[in-house]
Amino acid sequence: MVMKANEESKPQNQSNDSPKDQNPKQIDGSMLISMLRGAQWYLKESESHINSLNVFPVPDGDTGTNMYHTFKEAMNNLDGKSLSKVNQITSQIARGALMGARGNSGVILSQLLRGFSEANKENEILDVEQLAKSFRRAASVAYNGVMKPVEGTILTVASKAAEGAELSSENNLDIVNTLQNTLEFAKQALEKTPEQLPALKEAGVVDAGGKGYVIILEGMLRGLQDKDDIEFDEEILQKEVKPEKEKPEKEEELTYMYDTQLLIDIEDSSNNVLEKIREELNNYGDSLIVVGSESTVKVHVHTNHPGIVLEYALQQGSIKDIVVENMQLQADKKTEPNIKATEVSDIQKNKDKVKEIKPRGIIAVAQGEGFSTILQELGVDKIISGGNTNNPSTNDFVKAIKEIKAREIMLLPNNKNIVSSAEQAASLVDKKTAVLSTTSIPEAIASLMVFDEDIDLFELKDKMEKEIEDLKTIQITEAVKESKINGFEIKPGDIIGVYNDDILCCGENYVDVILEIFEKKYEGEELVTIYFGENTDREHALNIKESLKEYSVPEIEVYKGGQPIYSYIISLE
Amino acid sequence: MEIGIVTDSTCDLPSDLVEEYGIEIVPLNVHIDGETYKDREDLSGDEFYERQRNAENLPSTSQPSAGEFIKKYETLSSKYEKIVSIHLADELSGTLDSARLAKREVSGVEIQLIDSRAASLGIGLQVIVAAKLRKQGASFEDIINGVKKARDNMKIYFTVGELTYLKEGGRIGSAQAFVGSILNFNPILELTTKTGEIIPHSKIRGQTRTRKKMIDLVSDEISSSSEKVWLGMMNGQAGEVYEKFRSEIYNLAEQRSAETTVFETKLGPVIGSHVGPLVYSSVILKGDFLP
Repeated sequence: MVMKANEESKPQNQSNDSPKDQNPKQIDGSMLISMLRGAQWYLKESESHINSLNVFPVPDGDTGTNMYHTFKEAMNNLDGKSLSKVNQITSQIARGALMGARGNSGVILSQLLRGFSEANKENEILDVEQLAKSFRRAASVAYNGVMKPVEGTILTVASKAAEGAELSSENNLDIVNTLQNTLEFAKQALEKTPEQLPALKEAGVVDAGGKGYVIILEGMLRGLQDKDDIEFDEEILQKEVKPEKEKPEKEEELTYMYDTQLLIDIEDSSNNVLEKIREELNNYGDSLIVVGSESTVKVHVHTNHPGIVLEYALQQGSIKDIVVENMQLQADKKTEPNIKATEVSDIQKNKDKVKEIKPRGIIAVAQGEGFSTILQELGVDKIISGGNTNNPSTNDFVKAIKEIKAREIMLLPNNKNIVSSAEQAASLVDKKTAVLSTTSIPEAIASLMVFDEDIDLFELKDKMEKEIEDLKTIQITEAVKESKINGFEIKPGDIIGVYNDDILCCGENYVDVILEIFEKKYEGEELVTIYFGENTDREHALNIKESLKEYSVPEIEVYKGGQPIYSYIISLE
Repeated sequence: MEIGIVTDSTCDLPSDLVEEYGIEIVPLNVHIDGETYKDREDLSGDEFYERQRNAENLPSTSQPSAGEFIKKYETLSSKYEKIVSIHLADELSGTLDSARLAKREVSGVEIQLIDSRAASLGIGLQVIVAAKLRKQGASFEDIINGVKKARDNMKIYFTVGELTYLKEGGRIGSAQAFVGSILNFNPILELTTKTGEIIPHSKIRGQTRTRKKMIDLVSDEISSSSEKVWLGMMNGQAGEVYEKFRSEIYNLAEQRSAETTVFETKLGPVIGSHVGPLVYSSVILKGDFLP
């Protein structure tokens, strides 16, 4: 599409026969066109700013673009027509907007213009009373044009703006004052939109469409006042930009707890390292900022898993200047001095009450930071440290069950020797508790894939246990003492492969032992996962992955389990 | 023929079917690095995925303007007395808003708008139901009821290689819960025709296992059923995984004794913008009411 020159540059209203009147009582056709050109100019200048506010109804950041394009289409419909009467102009504008409406906000804008036009069917010029009626009609047509009108949007702003115009009309004000009041009412309504729409409040923005309407009104006023040379007032973009984010109230839980910042000295620098890091960290929290150069990168993110972020950063290079702050504590501290001692207990009680009680909590036994992180990400509320050499007691489970704010509990013992104390604990508590018969952490991971909160707890137990029927777990460790088991003569330092608590094979190096286990146990499973322990590393694990090539496993994944004792825990499923 | 059938470009119906059944299409728009393209008219699926990979910013989409619907309806009003207009889920797009505005503007033709509460072949199969019923001489009301029945008896499942596109495009809904994990897994999502929303269905580890689950979801619906079945299959550029999925679906279809029709298509640019290239999907439509 060819852009017309007057849309790309500031509007110049060349032909103005009417004398400049600072306090007009009426708007004629040419004044109206000046006003509309002003609005178009203002919208164009504010396009990207409005885009940046767009979080509702769909956070796709195109409200400014859609409103501007729609308005432009509306104005293009005036081209080549010499129109001098208000009703001719408004009807062409309305038609153009309708035909060109783009996006949700464009559709609503087209309805506003349509309403404005409907109110002026008979009017060749506009007085204040008619102007007020036009703004009112614009708002009501827009409300009707939307299937489910939502307050806190452009609709609310348009309706309030109309009130401002009506009030001015009742007081016989002139056109400029009326427009100023209309604008003022619109601005006030805009500022309140975050109170009406939680999505806006959460994002710390005012409604994008509403802002667009304010911009249009501002542009109309400017267009009327500075006919020949409209200045775009940058300030209107700053004034209402992102009102300060509300401090989280005491009862509210922060979505992300830890403010995490660090510097990475990048090991293998490449052109798009910033972009890559930004993309890869994007899923771990919000408020992500990644800045810097190819060699040094500053990362800032709000996350619930600072450990993962640091671990990720370590893969990119060496890290320094690490700051991890608990934002919940910060928020609490800020409000605490205002609370009298006697009130604290009440507030605490309230807080507990308000703190959401989950329908279903999950407790898992695990060792190793890698496993802990994975399990937590899969929804585990509490990890009890324990394993082969360190069995948690019944009491540990009872305490954990009581501690978790959930009506029902799913318990994953993840070791054959721990199942019975878990079951005992389940029988001792009032909470409905189910114990899964998981005997390894890979089983826990597989079963958590189908966790849900909608079916009966014991039905869920069956469903989760079904997921582990075909899963094999192999554990690899180093012998610490001499022994004779299953016909194997084991020397200290030997590598042993354990399957179902039985020693399956033993040898001098990891690769040989693991290959021997695969020879015995691999039956075409589609996914093999290697979790490496605290006494080995990713590189070694990748070697093992490489050596398994001959079995043509469709997929092999490697993760850090961080477990003690077992250098490798390998699952086949 | 006195009844017109209109849909939008996100139905993803192959052009031979569109021609065969005389279906009218209003295109949505795709915006890539400042340029605007008409969905599936200016840009094919494959061209799009290529551009998507190389674009500076993720492509975005927009609904057709009311004007485009007005033009379409006005043109058709000389040919038809009534129009059934079936469109992309209201939950996912403003397309039906534009159609509603247009409907008010156009006189001389009766227009029935239907929210498919679906996307891609989910809409496509509803449109084919309408077209087949029209061919059989069904009344306007029977066509409308047939489409709604098809909608209510439809299941749509899909899996995406990564959730980034759904997230960035703002269409992720409650599947947001699937975002963000150190452990790789593939999300299987459902587009429920109860509401037209995207909801999480399951998470599966491993590509092969995901494919098997996608097959199971189809198999569970049709293998033990003796009803007529229409199956839809779509993909972006999912490659080998999709080829395997596809041949297994054909196997399932062949094993059935009851009538089974398979439809297949490439997901167009608008849908592709929101799900990314690695998507593949199934639509299961079951019932002896099918024409």
